[in-house]
Parts: sequence; C-alpha cells; structure tokens
Amino acid sequence: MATLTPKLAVQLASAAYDIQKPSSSGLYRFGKSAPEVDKAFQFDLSNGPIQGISGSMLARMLKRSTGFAAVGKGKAQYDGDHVIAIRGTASLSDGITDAHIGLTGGENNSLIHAGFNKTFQSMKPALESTLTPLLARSSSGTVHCVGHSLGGALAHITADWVKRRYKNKVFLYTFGAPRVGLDGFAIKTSNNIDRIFRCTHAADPVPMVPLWPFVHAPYQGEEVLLAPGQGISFAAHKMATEATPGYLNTANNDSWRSLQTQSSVNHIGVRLKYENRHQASFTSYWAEKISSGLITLLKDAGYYTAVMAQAAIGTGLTFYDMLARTLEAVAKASTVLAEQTKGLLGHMLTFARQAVTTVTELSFKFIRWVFDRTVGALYRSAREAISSVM
Amino acid sequence: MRISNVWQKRLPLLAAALSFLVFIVFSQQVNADMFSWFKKYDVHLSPAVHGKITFNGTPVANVKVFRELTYDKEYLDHAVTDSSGHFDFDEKNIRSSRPGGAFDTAKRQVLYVDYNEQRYLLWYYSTLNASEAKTLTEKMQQLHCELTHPEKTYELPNHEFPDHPHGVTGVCSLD
Repeated sequence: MATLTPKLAVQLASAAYDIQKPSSSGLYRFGKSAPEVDKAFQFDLSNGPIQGISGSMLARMLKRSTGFAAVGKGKAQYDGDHVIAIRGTASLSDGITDAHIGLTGGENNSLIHAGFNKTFQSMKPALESTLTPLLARSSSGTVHCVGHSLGGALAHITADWVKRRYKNKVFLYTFGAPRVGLDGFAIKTSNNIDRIFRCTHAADPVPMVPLWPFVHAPYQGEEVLLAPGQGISFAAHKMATEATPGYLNTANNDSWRSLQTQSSVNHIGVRLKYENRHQASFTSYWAEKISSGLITLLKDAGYYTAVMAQAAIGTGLTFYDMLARTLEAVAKASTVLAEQTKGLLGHMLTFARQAVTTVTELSFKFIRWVFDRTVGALYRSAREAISSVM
Repeated sequence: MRISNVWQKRLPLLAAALSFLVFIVFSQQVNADMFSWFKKYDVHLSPAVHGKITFNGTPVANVKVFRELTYDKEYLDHAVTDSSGHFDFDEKNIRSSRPGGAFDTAKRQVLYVDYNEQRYLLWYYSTLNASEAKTLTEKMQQLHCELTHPEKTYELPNHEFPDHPHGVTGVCSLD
C-alpha cells in the first residue's frame, strides 16, 4: 500500500538506463548499483530485459532492439508489490518535437501520441508474459510504474494498461516526462491510475512538450516541482548526480510531503492584454499561461469544441494551419475578440524572444508565422534536451 | 518633402540592418548550443585495476580476466593472470560528446572470469556520471577475488556525492 519514496522512485528511473545498451557477457545486475533499490526490489534479468522496438526502419532491420523495461519483485517493506522501471530512448524524441504529431487511438480508446503507443505496443507482449504469472500470485500488491523522460511517457501508458488488465493498485512516478495524449487520455488515466507523482524541474523543457492540445495527467492536478527556476535549459532534463540540478539530487528525499507541489495553471479565464505583452518571458510558466490564453480565447469565441474535434479527427491541414485559420476567423468576429487575439500573439512573440513584438495585422499568414516562431522556440530547446546526443 | 522621402527609404534599410544584426546575435547563440553537441568531454570508464584471483585459497594462474566497459558502446579488453593469480588493467578514458547533451548515458563496469566452465562476476557497477569516483578507484587498486565466495553487493561511501552511496556487486571482497 505504501508509495515509493521520492529517493527510491528516482533511483529506479535512473537504474532503467542500465539496460540502455546490451551486454555481451549477459551479466546484468539491475538495480544493484543503487543501494536504495537493492534494499527494496529484486530483479531477475537472467532472460535479459524486456525489449521493445522504436526508431527508424533501419534500426528495426538491424534488430537493434535494446532493453526498455525491467520488472522487479518487492521485498521488506514492499513485499507483495512489483515495480516496472522503464527507460526512454532518444529515437522517440522526433515525435514530440515535431509540429506534425501523429495521434492514434490508444489502449483506453482515447487519443495519444502515435510514437509512444507504437513503442508501448512493441513491448506489451513481453511485459504481459512477465507480469501475468507474477501478479496471479499477488493481486493485492501495488504495481509501481517508474520512468524518466520518454521512459516516463511509456510508464504512463503502461500504468494505465496494468490497471485495466490486472486490477491491482497502480502508482505512477515520472521525472521530466513529456505529455502523452489529449485531454481524454489525461482525464481517463487520472481517474484510472491510483496515484500519480509527476516530477519536474521548472527549467526542463521536456515536460512542456508536445504543446496543447496535449495535456498532462493528473488532469488539472498537481505536479511535484523539484527545482524552481527561471529560463529553460536543456541540461535541467538530466538525472545524473553530477548534473545541475539533476533529478537524482533534487528527488533525494524520504517523503513526498516535504517536496514542493504546484497546481497546474487553470486554463479558464486567461485573457492576455496586448499592452502587457512584455511581461512574458521564455519560461515554463509563460508556456503554460500562453496555452491557457489560447484555450480561453477559443472558448470565449465558441470555437473550442470544433478545434478539439478537428484535432482529433485530423484534417488535411496541419494542426497549426487549422488553428491559425480559426484565429483569423475569431479576430473577425468582434473587436473584443480581435483585441484578445492581438494580446495572445503579442505575448507569443515576447515568449519566443522576437526582437519586434508589435502585432500589425491579424491575417492567417501573420498568425501562422507567430505560431512558427513560438512553437519553434520551444521545440528547439526540447529537441536539444533530448536528441542532442543521438 | 525630399528629406522625408530619403527617410522613408532609409527606414526600411535601417530596420533591415538592425534585424540582420539581431539575427546574427541570435543565430550565434543557437550555434553555440549546436556546437556544444560536437564538443568532446572526458569520460572516465575505468581506473587502473590490480587484482588477485584465488580458488579455495590457491592462486588461479593463466586465465583470462575480461573487462567489459559500456558507455554508448562496449569497450572490451582482457588481462591474463600470472602464476600468483595477479592481473592488471590500465586506466581507461575516452572522449565523448555525450556529457554535453542532456540525455543521460549509463556507464557500466563489468569484470568477469571464465573458470572451470563457469562464469564468475568479479565486479559490477553502473552510474550515470562520466566522472571518476575516488572510492572506486581506491578499491580497484587491490581486489582480492576468491571464486568460491558467493556474489555480494557492497555499499561503499561516495566521496564526491556523499548522499548517494555506491553499490558494487561481485565475488571480490571489498570490506
């Protein structure tokens, strides 16, 4: 019934990197290098880690599938519990920093990121054959799903699937994880998964992508802010103790209660005034605030449901083309809405660190350009964070 | 009229020059980030190793000891024990761009020996840090590995990051 301590959760997420590369000797001692993990869980990797396939066609042809997940059995305080530690992979990063994000119907019939779902599906058979005999013996135990970065995204899908497949209590712990799906997925998984600890650093760009309409779970809930800070820096995504701040350092705590939590920005009623645009800055706070401003504007204009529906079914246009066309129409509807649109675009330009932030026209072409600047600035920093070392 | 005409012509020119300057400054910033990916850093894969292998107290001579070091890819080398069971490895460092990126890279150190058709794990350690750990460098200076001993996990003090003790697993005695 007990939750993992922050210290234990982060060490498990870190241990998952141990199966990043295969070992020619086959000598894996998963979790043994992290004393906290070794005291609480026991891993049997005699058959190797749970594999999955991600990445390019070439990588798949070369069968370069490496370990993605390891399943451990609880001991001592965690007797009867199980843990699934999942690592990320740089080859998934293309998908979250691309404006043309593919959506697909996930396990729970809500829309999620196509790349994450594909990787999850590739590891699911092995995960199922490992978990079924283990959980047949302990239906009362908790299954803890843990992951950092893209591994956090996979842990999120895994946690939701385990809950529906086995009915055990399921807790999810993520560190610097991106958004996985649209609001339907976030709402369903917030209700389904028993507890979610979503840990971030304010300067880590990865939790800020993919942009809205992707949303985080817990839906309109709290995140555990392990390190506050200004600006966005790709080094803030790292786990290592030698990194600054490094998730292994910031989560090195025995209790969740002593860590700072932060409610996600309320998406209702954020109307951005054009004359205040210079208050914006390139920070996670403003990334959220601008998303909220956009959602509020669409709701005020009565276009929100239509935009969400179009995002879900996919149109011939890219999502941002469709959004720009919508805003052009919104601005034409009334002077109040035009002013609100102008305010939103001005804030976007300041956020994207544009030298000139004056909004002179509200045409499709101009709005589309502002989106390019804004999305480009954020995705560029996230891309640096993840794929700089592919 | 004439004057204002000149200004009307110059203003876009000035704006263009200014935005060009801004572009240069910003693109330089982006480039600085971009080139940091290609910048190489030191990665300490293994300190020098000096050890001795025995079986029931008798030195194990003339066997291959393997050192499997993994950081993005695998670096495998081996040593052969002398008549007194001693073996040595040199320190191993590489240059890599990975520490400059933001995606963590695991570093794994495995020492093992195949003896009498059995594989014995002498040393297993993994970390996300590229830097050297003083405690482990010291321990690897004098490993005594009795192959009949069971594999054991030792919790060792971390000199650089005291809140994060090291865990090392193997048959070698590290007390």
